[in-house]
Amino acid sequence: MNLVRKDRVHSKGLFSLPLLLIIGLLGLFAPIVMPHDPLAVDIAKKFLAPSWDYPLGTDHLGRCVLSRLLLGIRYSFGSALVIQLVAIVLALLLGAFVALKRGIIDFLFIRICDILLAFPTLVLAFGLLGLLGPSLKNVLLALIFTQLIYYSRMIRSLFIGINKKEFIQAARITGTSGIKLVIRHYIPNLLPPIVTIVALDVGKVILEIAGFSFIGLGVQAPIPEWGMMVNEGKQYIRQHPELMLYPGLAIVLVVLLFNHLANNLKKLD
Amino acid sequence: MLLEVKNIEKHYGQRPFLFKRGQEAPVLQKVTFSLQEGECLGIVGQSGSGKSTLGRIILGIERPTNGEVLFQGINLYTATSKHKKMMRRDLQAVFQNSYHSFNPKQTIFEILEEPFLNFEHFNKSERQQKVRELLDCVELESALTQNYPSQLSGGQQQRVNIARALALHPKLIVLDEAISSLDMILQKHIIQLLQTLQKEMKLAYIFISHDLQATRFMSDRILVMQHGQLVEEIGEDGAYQHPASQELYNAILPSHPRERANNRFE
Repeated sequence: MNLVRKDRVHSKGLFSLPLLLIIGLLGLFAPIVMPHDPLAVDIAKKFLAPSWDYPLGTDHLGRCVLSRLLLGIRYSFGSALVIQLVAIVLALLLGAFVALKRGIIDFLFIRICDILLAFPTLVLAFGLLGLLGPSLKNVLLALIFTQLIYYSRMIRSLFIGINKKEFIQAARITGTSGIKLVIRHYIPNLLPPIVTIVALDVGKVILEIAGFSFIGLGVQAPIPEWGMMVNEGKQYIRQHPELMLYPGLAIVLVVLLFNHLANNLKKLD
Repeated sequence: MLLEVKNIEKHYGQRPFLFKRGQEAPVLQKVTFSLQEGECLGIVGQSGSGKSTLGRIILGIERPTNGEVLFQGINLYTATSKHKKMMRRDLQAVFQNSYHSFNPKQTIFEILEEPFLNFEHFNKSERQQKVRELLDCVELESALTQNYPSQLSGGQQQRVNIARALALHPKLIVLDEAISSLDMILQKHIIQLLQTLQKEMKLAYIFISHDLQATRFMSDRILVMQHGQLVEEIGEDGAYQHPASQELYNAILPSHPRERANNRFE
């Protein structure tokens, strides 16, 4: 059982996938690829113009901007992926459980979700971060939580949508039940919309992580997260606008690539 | 006795919840009948007479509001999960809409191996062998196993459905409008196929249809339903006495133009 039937793949729409893979690998192997230590402060070398030694120059503390961008892939791109994966797996478990059980559990679940969804996700995450205190770990927790509410509600609806389909009933009559039913019949039919929405939201989550770091609620000072870098660069926006431009462009590029990927995944099914 | 249906009632609609008052409409009222092993029972009635709901209740997909269904002496709705699993083996179904009965992401092989995965401990090559036997049984080529249901014709799809229902050698198959959407020639072919299989495997059928002619051809007995009630039971050479049965009988179109005159709608 393939996710995508071979005769239906339009491969030309998927060029963003290899590009994202390359970015991911760069982040994974950042310690090998980086020209300099991204955390090494050298005030004597501050605000250097681009050169062979420092391809994108240095920031206000004399740190290599390219190295910081490369290591930043881990924090921006990597943590967004982790958030999405953890959230969707938990949401699948929760949503499937609630959709198959129905009854009072389902009723309570929906009410609680609706109350939480009444807050915009950012406000909800804000509240959680205020409660937990600013740190990378807490940003992950807060965003996983907000995504989880949204996704489990969505997956519950998707499950209930095909609950009444005849092939589910036919499978039950054939003797398939419980987890086997979910794995063989629900998931393969729901995977395309789920994959699409998860890919689409990676961009949103990257922006949220960067946003939290920018206002100082997320990743803390020396860690080169892209939103953090934009924040640090903003003090020198008149003299050295490129310090904000590089991480800003990195964010835009990755978000655009994910949106493009999601758009084309949507067309596949 | 293979199957006993006792005083089944079913209401659809909203149940009372918190402050909401319930609104219920009866779909089945006091339906009682029984079925012997190897027997073919026809259930006919107009659309909306409750025959499909009855079929679904017999299959255990839906719970009746009142009454009980005993399959081989065991109550379908209060059985332990072990008993339920055994019943699933012996109680199968074929639905009207053949394509919608398949998971569109599964190949024919995956569809047909599923019953064996659930109940037997066969390895892959044994399952392949079994699937080939099944396809042979319903006169399909084994080359179809790697196709998706959407690539098959309606008649082929319905035969795959029948093959799936036969896989575990059940005792009873509920055929809910199983041939109604097929063309006449295929209908005849599948009826013959079902009858041959019935003799070979000592199957019992519940043949639910609005087509009295096909039902009469298939069944030992026919139950006529109207507005959720059983109104008449017609035996081997029984007469159609109830108005609902007569209406169904009169609705059979004459097979030859010459007969038109003496068989008009009234």
